[in-house]
Amino acid sequence: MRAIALVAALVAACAPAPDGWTDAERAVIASLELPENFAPPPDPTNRFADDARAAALGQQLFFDTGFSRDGKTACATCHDPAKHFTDRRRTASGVFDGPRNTPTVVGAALYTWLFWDGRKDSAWSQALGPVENPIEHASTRVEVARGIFERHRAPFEAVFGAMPSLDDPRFPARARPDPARPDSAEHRAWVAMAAEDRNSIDRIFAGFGKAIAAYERLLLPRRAPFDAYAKAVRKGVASEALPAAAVAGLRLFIGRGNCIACHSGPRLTDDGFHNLGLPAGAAPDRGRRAGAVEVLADPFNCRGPFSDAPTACRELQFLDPTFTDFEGAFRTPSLRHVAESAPYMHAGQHATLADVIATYSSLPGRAEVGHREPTLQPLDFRADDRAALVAFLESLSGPAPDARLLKAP
Amino acid sequence: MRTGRWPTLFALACVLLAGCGSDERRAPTAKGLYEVSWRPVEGVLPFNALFAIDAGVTRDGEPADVLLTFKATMPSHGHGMQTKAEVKPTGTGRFVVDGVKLHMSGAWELEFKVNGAAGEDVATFIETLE
Repeated sequence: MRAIALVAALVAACAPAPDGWTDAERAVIASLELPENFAPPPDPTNRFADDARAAALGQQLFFDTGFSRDGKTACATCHDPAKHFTDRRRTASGVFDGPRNTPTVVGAALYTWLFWDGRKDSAWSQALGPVENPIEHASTRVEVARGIFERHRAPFEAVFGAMPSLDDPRFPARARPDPARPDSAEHRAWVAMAAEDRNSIDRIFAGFGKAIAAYERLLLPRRAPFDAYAKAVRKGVASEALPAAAVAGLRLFIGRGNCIACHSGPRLTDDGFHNLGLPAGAAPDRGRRAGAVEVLADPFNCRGPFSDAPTACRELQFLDPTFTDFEGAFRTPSLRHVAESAPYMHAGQHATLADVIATYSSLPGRAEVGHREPTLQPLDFRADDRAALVAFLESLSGPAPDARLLKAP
Repeated sequence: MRTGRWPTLFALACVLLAGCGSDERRAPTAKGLYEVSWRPVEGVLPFNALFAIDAGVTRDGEPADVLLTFKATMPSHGHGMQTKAEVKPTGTGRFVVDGVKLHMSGAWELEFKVNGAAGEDVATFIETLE
C-alpha cells in the first residue's frame, strides 16, 4: 500500500501543469486574474465616493441632458450604457466633434489618471471637464448649479448641504473661469461675481462631480472567461473556459508578444503613458506632456481646496511633467471588456482588435510627436498568431454591469 | 546527534558578511571616496508603484556629512523615471529618498551622487525588475 501511495505521489508531482504552463507562467497568469470580490480602492479625495445617496444622485446627473448648451447632451450621450459606456465612434461628438476617442466609464474610477492625457487625477474632477468643455457640453458651472437647484435640489442638499438660492438675479445666466479667454462673456461674468458666490458655485460644482463619481464607482469590470481559466490554472486543474485559440493568444500575450509589459495586473494596464508611434488624429497631439502640466495646475486636483484629502497626494507630489517620454504619450487603457469598446486608440485610429494586433505586429510609420516607445519591436506575427491574440482579448469580456445602473433611475 | 554547530556558524557568517538574505545594497563610490548603502523602506522594490528608499553614506566607516542626489534611468530604453524623487536628510550621512517609481520591467540604473568635503563621487546600482 505504501509503495502505491508513493508512486501516486510521484506521478502527481511530475504531472504536467494544465496546458503545459511553467510555474513562472502560472504566477504571471495569476497576476492578471480579476479578484472574485473586486471592489474599487477608496478615494479619500471624495468623501462621498461610497455614499449610496450620492451614487443615486450621480446616476440621475449622468443621464440629465439639461447640463449642456444644446439641452440634448448628457454624459450618457457619449458614454452610452448600451455601447459599453462609449459611443462606437472614432472620436467623440458632443455639441461639436472632438479630437479624441471616448473612453469607457466602466472601470474609469480605477485609474490613477483620467483622460487619454491624464489631465485629471480623480474620477470626480474628471466629470467636471466635459461639462465646461466648449466642444463637449459647452456649459458653465453656474448653469450646472442652477440645473441642480431646479431639478435635483432635494437629493443634492440631502448629501451636500443647503444651496444658495440660484434663482437670485445676482447669479449670471452663464459664467465660468476661462483664463485662456479673459475677454469671453463667461469669464467676465465669473470675475464680476462676489467671491463668496464664486466659492459656493465651485463647491456645488465639486459636489456634482463627486456624486457622478460615486455612481461611476459602481460600474466595474466583471470576471470573464479568462478569469475562469486563470482560476483553474491557479488550482492546477484542466479547464474548458477558453477555446484553444485564446489559450494560444494568452501564451503570446505573456510571452513573445510581451504585451504584459504595459498591459499588466488584473486590469491589464500599468496606469502609465506610452507613445506607440500611431498616426496623428486631426492634429498633432502632445498627449501626456500637456496633460501632466494641466493636472498639476487644476484647482480640482488632489491638493486643491475641494479635495477631501489634500495632504495625501503622493502621485501629484512626485509627478515630473518634464519627463521627456511623455511627449506624444497616451494612457494605457485597461483591456477588461476591450472587445466592447471599438474603435481603439486615442483618436480611434484602429477600427477593430485585428487592426490593433496587425499594427503591433508590423509597427508601421513613425511617431509624429515624440518618439515611439523603445520596447516596441515589430513582432511579425503569423495570421494564426494574430487571430489567437484577438481571441484572447475577446475572452476578457465579462457580463455588463447591473441593469439598474444602465439607465436613468 | 548533531549539536547544531554548523547552522550556528553559518548564521554567524551571515551576520558578519552583512547582506545574506537582507534587502540592503552596498557599494563604494566610483573613485572610492565614500560608501553608499540603501534599502527600500518597505523591504521590497515594488514594480510601478511609488516607494521610498532609506540611504546611508559613510567615509572610512563613519557617517559622512554630505549632500546626496538620486536618479534612476533605464539605460537600454534611454529614459528615466516619470517621477522626480525628493531626497531628505534624516541625520549625518542618512537620507530618505521618496517618490521613486520604477514604472517598467527591465534593468534600472540607480545613481546616488554624493557631494562632500572629500569631493564629489557617485555609486551606481543595477536593479532588474521582472
